[in-house]
Amino acid sequence: MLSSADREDYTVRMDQGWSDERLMLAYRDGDAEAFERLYQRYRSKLFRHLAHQCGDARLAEELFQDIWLKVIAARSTYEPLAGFATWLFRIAHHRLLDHYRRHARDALASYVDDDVLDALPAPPDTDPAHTAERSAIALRISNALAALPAAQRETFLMAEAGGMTLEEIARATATGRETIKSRMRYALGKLRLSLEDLL
Amino acid sequence: MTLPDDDLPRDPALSALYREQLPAEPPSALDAVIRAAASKALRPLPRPWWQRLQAPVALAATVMLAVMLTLTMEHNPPETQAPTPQAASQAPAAEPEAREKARADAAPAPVRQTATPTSPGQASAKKEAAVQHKAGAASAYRPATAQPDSDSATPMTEQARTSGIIDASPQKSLAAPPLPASAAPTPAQAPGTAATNRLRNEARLQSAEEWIALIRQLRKQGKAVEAATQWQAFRNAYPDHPLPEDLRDSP
Repeated sequence: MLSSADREDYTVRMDQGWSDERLMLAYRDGDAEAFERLYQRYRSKLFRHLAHQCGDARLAEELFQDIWLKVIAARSTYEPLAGFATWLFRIAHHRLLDHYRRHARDALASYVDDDVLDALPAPPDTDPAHTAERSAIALRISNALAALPAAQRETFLMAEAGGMTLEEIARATATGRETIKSRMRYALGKLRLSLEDLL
Repeated sequence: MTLPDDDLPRDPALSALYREQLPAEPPSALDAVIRAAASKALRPLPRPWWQRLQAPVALAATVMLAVMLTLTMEHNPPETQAPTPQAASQAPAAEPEAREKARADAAPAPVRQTATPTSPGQASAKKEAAVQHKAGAASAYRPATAQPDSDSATPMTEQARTSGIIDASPQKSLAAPPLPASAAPTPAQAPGTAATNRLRNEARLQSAEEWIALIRQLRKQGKAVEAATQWQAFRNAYPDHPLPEDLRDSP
């Protein structure tokens, strides 16, 4: 049992020096504080990623909760074979695919044939413009993202919202590096086109 | 936020525009749900009811088994085959006094009847017993399993020596070593117990003779080891008993 001073020192070191993988291993071994640190690091990134992916705040919250519950359920079997971010967004990727399988077949199709479907615009039912509180700019960005095919949007959001590298995105989506590069190029091109007056 | 330096195509202007218009954070209620789930996952799972009852049921079963075994042992005690040295030593040290008392009595002793097959050794034993036990008045035969007195180690008084005839029961088996351990009356004892002690001494005398007869029988049957064991026990119980001639060479 740690004293209060030791506990404070432990928490500071956890905040500053511990990697995501070490925090997850600590949580696996029973440290609830480690999970709290990990959650603080990734809650905003993941939520933004999901919000822009599905364009619906309520759906994003549902997916957000499902994904974290899967992380908690997998606690006992976690092994740091890949980075934590890769692992987390891989879970998010599969959860999104499950959602698309049930509700949005067109969005799912964009994950199947990248070469053909990456060039097509997103179907109209993925338009995320639902909330009035958003600023016009935010709304336009949301609209621009929603207009992207799901695979390109996911790549862009993993890079921007998740702060992931090319390698991490490739592993999370089980896709080749060149495919990820291609998706990102297409996504950036379309977004520049939609938002060039704001740039 | 610094973008990772890798081969992924990026647009710094778009990245800056996107970060300026970041969408809302997850609601605090959602945070609470997830944190609660994370804490709950660390709690140990409750054991099923049948696992919680394992220890008490096992303990109860053990106690029941012990009680039943104890009751069974009390109702069916194991049989003893040979007199214990303690029991044998409690036998009449009194025996010599009983013999003297028997001699003092004038009445002839009845012929002992036993169920064992006759043999020369047996016949001589019976004769010797008849000679040694010239008892006076007839008295009831007390079985060899008579309970010992608490003062069994004390010698017999003169009154106790003047005992009656030791009657033999036809059913008495020589295979059962005689049990002694009845108390000799002490001077402090009330006169009313003298008759009881006399009876017990008579039983002890007959027990000694029967024991000798048993030893003879064992020797005749070729059970030398068992005969030697019985002989040693007899000598411990009756150290002053006169040695029969045929047994004087026994170890």
